[in-house]
Amino acid sequence: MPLTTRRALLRGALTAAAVHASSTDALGSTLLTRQIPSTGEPVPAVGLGSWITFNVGDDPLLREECTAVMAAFFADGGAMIDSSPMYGSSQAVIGHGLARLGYPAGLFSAEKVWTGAAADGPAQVERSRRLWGVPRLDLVQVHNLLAWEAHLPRLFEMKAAGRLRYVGITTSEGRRHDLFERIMREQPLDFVQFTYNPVDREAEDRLLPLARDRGQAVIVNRPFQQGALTRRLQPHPLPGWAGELGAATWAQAILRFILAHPAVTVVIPATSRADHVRENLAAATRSLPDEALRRRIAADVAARL
Amino acid sequence: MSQWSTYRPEDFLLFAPRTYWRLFELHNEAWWPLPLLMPPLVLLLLVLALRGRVLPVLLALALVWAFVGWAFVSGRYAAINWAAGYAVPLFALQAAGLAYAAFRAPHIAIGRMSPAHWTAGVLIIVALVVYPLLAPLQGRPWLAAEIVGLAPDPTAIASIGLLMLLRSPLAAWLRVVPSLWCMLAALTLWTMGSMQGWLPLGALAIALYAGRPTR
Ligand SMILES: NC(=O)c1ccc[n+]([C@@H]2O[C@H](COP(=O)([O-])OP(=O)(O)OC[C@H]3O[C@@H](n4cnc5c(N)ncnc54)[C@H](OP(=O)(O)O)[C@@H]3O)[C@@H](O)[C@H]2O)c1
Repeated sequence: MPLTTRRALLRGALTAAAVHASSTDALGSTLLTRQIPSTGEPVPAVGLGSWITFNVGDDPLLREECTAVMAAFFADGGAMIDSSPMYGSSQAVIGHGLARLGYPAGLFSAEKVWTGAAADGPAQVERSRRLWGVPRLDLVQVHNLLAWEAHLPRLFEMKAAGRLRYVGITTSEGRRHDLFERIMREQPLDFVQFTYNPVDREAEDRLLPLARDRGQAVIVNRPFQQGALTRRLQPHPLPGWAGELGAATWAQAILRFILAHPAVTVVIPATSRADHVRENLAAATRSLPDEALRRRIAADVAARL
Repeated sequence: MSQWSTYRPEDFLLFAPRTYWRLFELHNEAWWPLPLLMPPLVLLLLVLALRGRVLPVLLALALVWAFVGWAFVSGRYAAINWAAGYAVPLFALQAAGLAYAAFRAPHIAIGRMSPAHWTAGVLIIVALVVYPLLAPLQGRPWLAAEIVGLAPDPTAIASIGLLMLLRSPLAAWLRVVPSLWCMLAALTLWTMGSMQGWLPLGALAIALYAGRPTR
């Protein structure tokens, strides 16, 4: 398809998204929200990741596509976007999209600090904020616990000074859970982020229950194992429970499995497609699977991999 | 157990393959009509090298490396792969090394016809002819072709070839950076799941074989 036609199509999508936004605002969103334990602030339970998908550099066409994903995300009531200085140009691409969309009011910015040189932390946070183009970042997390001992006190200071609202830490794919758990016990964190899905369930043993005890909000990353889960499940028809679960796709079944865990606050799938972002947000409804159904989902997913 | 053992090659890939391949499309568009001029230029360099005109060959190569490092690696690729930013000084170093060698050109002799010439010829043909075809052959637009003198992989491969024609320890040293780049390129393409990684890997193997100590 020639570039100009694709651009025109995207422009159409953006306008449609904007119209849609006003209509959902009028109706009130039905999207499931969860409270951040440390403040009671509600946050929509499905967010948006940006690893790989938003790292498109200066490519005008791909930037436009990312903007369309963000437009669809906000139009359907999404709020939290997660990024990191590690994700190449993702921060700049998010900033570009936010500017194009007129800085949607609902935005909840989740950033990270990622540098081994502790003294660079605050400058890096400031650089991230400028790339997003927002007056203040909502959440800053220590990425993969890198130099966490040095970063956390500084982040707490910045929070006290009102330069950010929440502080957290992240890991993924089960790495360093022992240390992660210790930091959760010792530090007054608002947020923790780690991997959880029907296949990667280590977090159920300690991290998820501990987050609940400690009153820490949980962000779930890699719900689809970076797309490996959805890709491998795709050829298989959905089992009979899909209707009962209210899931039209495997992606929705996985998200509903994750959201049904009471300790989970927000799950942040990444996508480069506006239709997928809508599908993912639509998975966040109030009626979620009970324990018995969750066990069946996990077993059925595992059996098909 | 070190946590590093839990990483897979894909974990180090920061960008989607589509984003990577589109870099070449945007680059060719931005530098049009250089994509049409660079391959004949490199062919000319080959002819000059075979005729023993070493100075213009090395000077032109120096410019090409400076240009690819500045315009593509730093100007385009580093935006999606911060690790590529660390390779920019390598391109500058290579350009400087080539310029220095050009200045010492009278001392660089052209090698006698040997099997190395044929290998060099193969590398140059791969860079010149095979590389531009890879995009259309793999379902990407013609405009996304990787062109020698604009894209780093064919540039590195052609440079290894041209430098194999020269007989001097200096020329051997000048194959180090292109070989390093071939290794990085092969690694990147492998993590992207692209078969194309075999080409820079093959060039690297040839460079290493050609660079082996004789006697
Ligand atoms: N240590 C850390 O702090 C850390 C580590 C990992 C991840 N994270 C965060 O967590 C986010 C999510 O993790 P992730 O990006 O690694 O992987 P993920 O969200 O599990 O998977 C992303 C992939 O799933 C596909 N996908 C999304 N929605 C889909 C749908 N409805 N149907 C089918 N496929 C779908 C996407 O492909 P399409 O583009 O085709 O939709 C994309 O390739 C990251 O973006 C990042 O923000 C943080």
